[in-house]
Amino acid sequence: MRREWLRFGGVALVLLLGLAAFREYRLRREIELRTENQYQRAFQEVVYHLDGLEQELAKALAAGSTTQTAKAFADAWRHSESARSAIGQLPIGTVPLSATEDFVGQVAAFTYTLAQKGASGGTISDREWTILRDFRRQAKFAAEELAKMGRAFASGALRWTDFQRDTVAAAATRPDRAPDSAPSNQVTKGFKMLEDGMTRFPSPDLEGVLPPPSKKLPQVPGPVVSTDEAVRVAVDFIGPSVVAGRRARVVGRIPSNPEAYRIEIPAGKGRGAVWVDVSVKGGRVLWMMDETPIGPATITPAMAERIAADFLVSRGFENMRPISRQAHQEVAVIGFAHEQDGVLVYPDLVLVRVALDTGRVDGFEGTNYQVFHRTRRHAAPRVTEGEAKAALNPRLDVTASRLAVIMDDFYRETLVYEFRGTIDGETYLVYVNADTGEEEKIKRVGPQGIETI
Amino acid sequence: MYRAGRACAGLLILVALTAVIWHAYPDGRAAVAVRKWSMAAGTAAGASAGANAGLSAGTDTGTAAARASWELARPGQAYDYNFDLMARVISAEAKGEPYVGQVAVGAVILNRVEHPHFPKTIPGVIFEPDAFTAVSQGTIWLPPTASSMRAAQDALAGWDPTGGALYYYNPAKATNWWITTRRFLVQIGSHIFFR
Repeated sequence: MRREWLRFGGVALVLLLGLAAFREYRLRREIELRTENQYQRAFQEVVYHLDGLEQELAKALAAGSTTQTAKAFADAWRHSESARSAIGQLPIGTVPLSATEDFVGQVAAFTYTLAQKGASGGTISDREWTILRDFRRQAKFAAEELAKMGRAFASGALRWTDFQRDTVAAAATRPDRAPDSAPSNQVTKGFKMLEDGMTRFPSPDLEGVLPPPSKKLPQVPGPVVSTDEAVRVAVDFIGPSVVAGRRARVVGRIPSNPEAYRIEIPAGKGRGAVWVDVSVKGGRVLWMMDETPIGPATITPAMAERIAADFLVSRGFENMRPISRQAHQEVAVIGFAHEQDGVLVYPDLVLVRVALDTGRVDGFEGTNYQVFHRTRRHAAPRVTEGEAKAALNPRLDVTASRLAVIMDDFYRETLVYEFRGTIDGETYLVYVNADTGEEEKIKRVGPQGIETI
Repeated sequence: MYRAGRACAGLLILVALTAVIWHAYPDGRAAVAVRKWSMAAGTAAGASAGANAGLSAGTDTGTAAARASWELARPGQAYDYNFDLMARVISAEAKGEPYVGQVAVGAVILNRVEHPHFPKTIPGVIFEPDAFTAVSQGTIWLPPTASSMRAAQDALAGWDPTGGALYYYNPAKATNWWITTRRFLVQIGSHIFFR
């Protein structure tokens, strides 16, 4: 009697376990399929947008009128940005695809620039046309290669989820010991074909047409300084009361953007570690950060602004004008730009962070200032302020104006009139070129927690 | 007679247990539970999102300190998803790291946004498949630490302690041979940064 119950219970248990396992399997398959479908969709979108890109570039090549050209460029730009976004949704983080990604990024920047140019009535130059032709050929190749890979996926022989599993495993394995995983090899080969093909195209000369892609900063002007000198600069900048007898030392050398010594003052004596980067050339402080914990706030952001301004004066930064103030719970970050001859120079920018408990400066960011600051020779504006104002939207209620220098992505500086004004309760800064009288740029200001001065 | 009764009883138990299992764990309910959990965690950072990415300074030089320009933020937005997401990634990826190392993780995200090889938005970069362990393993849905929120603010304001890094990894936690093909920049805490 008891034995029979036991036997029965055993059978029931096995059945139940089997059932649970089956459900588990089904659930997993369903989730995997959903992921797979998302990857398939992203991949098909890459193919679709590269195809669309090629078509629009071809139209732009043939278009005669400015309107048709501008339209084709605008559409090409949309396709290239969409392709880029879709590529970012594919599990190909460890697949070397830099030539293809460079291409998509360059085409996006190029078509955007030309769409802008077209919108302002400009025509494309012979040089730009040649670049366009080369890009069109490249887009055609890329679209065709991807379509070939798409066929392999469509046949069902290949799944993105399998590919993802294999590549993630391969990234963690030494390359020479990587398993020769058969199914994902097809995708890897497809990508390699694409990449090899893309590198074979002559890279167009984009100097001056597009900004440098990685925003590489120039070096700080001046001679190379020694590590000892860099430590001295850092200690002077932080101030003896903060250093408090701790020993500063160089802990690294940052190779670029710009080249710098990394100096650390270790935590101790109730203070957190302080980190400073001092440029190898010129020996200037690029940034500083003090990790000392911050207590409850006792000073106001307005007081913090005065502390920050005094700090800059004491560190030899002359004629700095506060331009922004971000107040958080524990700190306030004040932005300053240099003013020369009544002109506000935005490229000469520093940020000063003030801890709101004791009002000490516990952070500094001055990379832009150190790289770009020099005594400038401002040309007299060719357009009067009144003329510049004529370029503004008449609905803009102007409350302030001044002359300023702004910088574009090519690090080219432009003298502008900066108009501050409001429309519909929103505050704007509008920049009008002081030479041509054209509206250069519009910015909206005043997000939550940020007071722009 | 006896046997038939027992068989019936057994079958009943089996059916009852099956029903229990079936209902305890349908797919739909599991998904709802996860969503609820992440929503609860979500409000933690949103409330203190004083740090809007926008307008760290009234300028647009296109360089490091000014990169937190208006493309990244919408002025006046009550809930800043960029800030919130960054704080979460920093919190999950760099908990226990020196503060500068936390800012560095935020800087890597922003360096990727600016680089043509990566998506153009902060969510795009963060949710790229297999880009961040914290995303793959779901730890970004835990409430972010206070210091990670401050680090996100500093990274968005323009501090970059990495010298322009696009990758980093923790040699103690992961083996990644692939990343060693990249250019070494600097080590901060237990993370090594590459470009």
